[in-house]
Amino acid sequence: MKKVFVNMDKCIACRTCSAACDYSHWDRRPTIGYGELREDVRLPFICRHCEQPACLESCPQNAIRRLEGGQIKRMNMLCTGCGSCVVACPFGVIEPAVKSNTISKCDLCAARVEEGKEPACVRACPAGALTFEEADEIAEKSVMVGSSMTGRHPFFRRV
Amino acid sequence: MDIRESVCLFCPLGCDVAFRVRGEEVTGPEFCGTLESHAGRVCGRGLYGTELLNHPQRIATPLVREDGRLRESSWESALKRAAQALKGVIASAGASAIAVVTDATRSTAEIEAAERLAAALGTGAVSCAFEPQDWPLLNAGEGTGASAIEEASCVIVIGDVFASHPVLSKEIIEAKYTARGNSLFVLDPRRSNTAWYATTHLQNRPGTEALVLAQVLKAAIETGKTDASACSWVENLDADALAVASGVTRSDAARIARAFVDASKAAVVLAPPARGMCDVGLVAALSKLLCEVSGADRGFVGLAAAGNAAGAVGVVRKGDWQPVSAVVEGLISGKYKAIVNLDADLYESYPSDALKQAIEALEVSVSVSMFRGALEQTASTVLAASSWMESAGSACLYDGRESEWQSVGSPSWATRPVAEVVDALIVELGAAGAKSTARTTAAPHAAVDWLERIDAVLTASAVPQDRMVLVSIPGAGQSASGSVTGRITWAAAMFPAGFVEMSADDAASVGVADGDTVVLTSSAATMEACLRVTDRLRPGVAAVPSYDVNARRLFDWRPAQDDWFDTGPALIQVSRKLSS
Repeated sequence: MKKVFVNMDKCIACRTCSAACDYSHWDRRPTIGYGELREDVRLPFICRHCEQPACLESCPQNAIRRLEGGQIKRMNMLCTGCGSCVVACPFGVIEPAVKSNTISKCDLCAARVEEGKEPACVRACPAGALTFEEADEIAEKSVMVGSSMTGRHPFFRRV
Repeated sequence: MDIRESVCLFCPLGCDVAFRVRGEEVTGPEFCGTLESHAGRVCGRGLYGTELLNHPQRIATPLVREDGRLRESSWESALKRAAQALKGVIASAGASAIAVVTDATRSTAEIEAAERLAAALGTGAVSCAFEPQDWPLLNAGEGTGASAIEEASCVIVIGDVFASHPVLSKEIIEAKYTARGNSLFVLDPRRSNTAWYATTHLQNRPGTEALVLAQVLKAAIETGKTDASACSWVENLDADALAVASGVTRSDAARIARAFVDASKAAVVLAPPARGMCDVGLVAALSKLLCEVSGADRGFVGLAAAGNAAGAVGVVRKGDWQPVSAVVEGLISGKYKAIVNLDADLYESYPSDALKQAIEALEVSVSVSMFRGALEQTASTVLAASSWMESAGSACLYDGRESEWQSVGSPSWATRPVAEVVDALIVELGAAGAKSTARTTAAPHAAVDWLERIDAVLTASAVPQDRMVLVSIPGAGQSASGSVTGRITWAAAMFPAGFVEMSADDAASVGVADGDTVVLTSSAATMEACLRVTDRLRPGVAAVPSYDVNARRLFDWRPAQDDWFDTGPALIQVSRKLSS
């Protein structure tokens, strides 16, 4: 399954990914957040589409499902906005949405990917720091950062 | 559903942007991999188009002032009112009492329209609003494109390029990683995100970039590998004095010089801040000279702030235009009784209490604008302008390339393109409306008196003991004074205004902590701001966002060198806010 990866050697913290997400999903908050742990330690927070997703397991309405392609998607018509997934997500990348009874959850721009395009955040990134690749391909050419912590390899650095 | 392409004019990189269009309505941005410029990469500003076109605060119809309030009007009636008011001023005070001002973020044709209108009115006071650093930067000569950075083994970046022009970051970072041993030197008084990527960050004292470059140039000549004939004057430079004043040691300057001279390919990228760099023209000229003497494959990339700054300079040079600083001064002194504003934000760009009072005292003010700014609050007639994206146009980009675009849709609501409004106004005025012929050609900088200008920067860099130096910092999601981008929801949330950055040492000496309100006092204004304690700045230096109109009031907006605005930092005093 292809996922969005962040090359921490290239991210310039311009937050364009967040704007691209915002502008391509008008109905909700951007699902690619941005954190500045210290002034020198900053990183975009993106959904990892986990292999064992806590959000999916926590949802009482069964509104979060895994698609055939592997993406974890929130089903609009089933979600009641109870916020269980917001609490369950260990990475804090699901947020209550602006509209009531919904939450913001990255769907990897499913409609764009179906058309053979990259997700909006990847396409817009001015520094080329975001890539949409198979995890195996990334592993071959990079050193993972924080892999022991997350087990999901969201960030990588060049070797 | 169509996909239509346009160009982003929030900075002169001129990135291609695409929009999804249903009928004539722009429904959202499209992220295409097929776009030519920068392979479709954009920064946050490039994505604003949709929100800008459909913005709820846009002026949708012409407005005329009746009984002190702006009321909606038809185009015919508003144009007639505007023309009559302007004719009245011509009859009572003469045509020279009217100033026409346009803006460098408009297409070249729209900037030229200002000259047509001035000719029709018979006034010589026609001007174009630039960010303060743009005019001296572009007058120092043309630069090259991003190709100069690709595969360069040494890049010197002056300013916070990743914040002011984020799309160029890919080329700069890739140049650093192309081969082991490549160097990226960043010269910036603030440890910005650009500086984080540097192999060496030179944290100079604010305003002394010219002194550092002079040191580097002298060190480059001393390597014996450069063409010394072009700059024999460097022998007379006192390198020790420059090192002390700039805060960059001689050994650091020598290291940059060696890396730059020995590189197979090298580039200097200059993106000056709105305020904080003394004599931007000299910095640009020294950068170009360093490239020239160091051999082949050396490129200078000069990055202005406004999207069509180069195109505007081209238009201005052909005619007899006035510097906008002179128009601002003329407004303050009461020389002008009326103004015709073609989508410039004079107060937001060069804010001062004196200018605000002058704007309020104007007899007639006709404004063709997209949003209600300070001018529009008191304008007698406001004519609704469309965005540059809503009509075909062209602009000159940072590398001299002409970029042309087609309209992404018909103008929103009852708005009209600026050039069309100007032509209609000329018809109402009953003037011939012919394009004025070129009268004089404003010469670019004459021969540079290097030593004299370096001495002037050296003198200006001295700071009294009880003062701090104030510089402005760009934001990656905001453009110029923020008069337009500040209205964009995402930009306002992600890049808020109203703060001042200061080091922990300075905060302790003032007796304030992070998040406290402090009072900043300069010779021009006093304002309150929220304190952000940071380790990005040296003690003695404070920084405010360049897109914060309130903070821009702290800088002095009076004509200085070459009748243009001073681009250097301001001196301020910081104190605790006393509780009432």
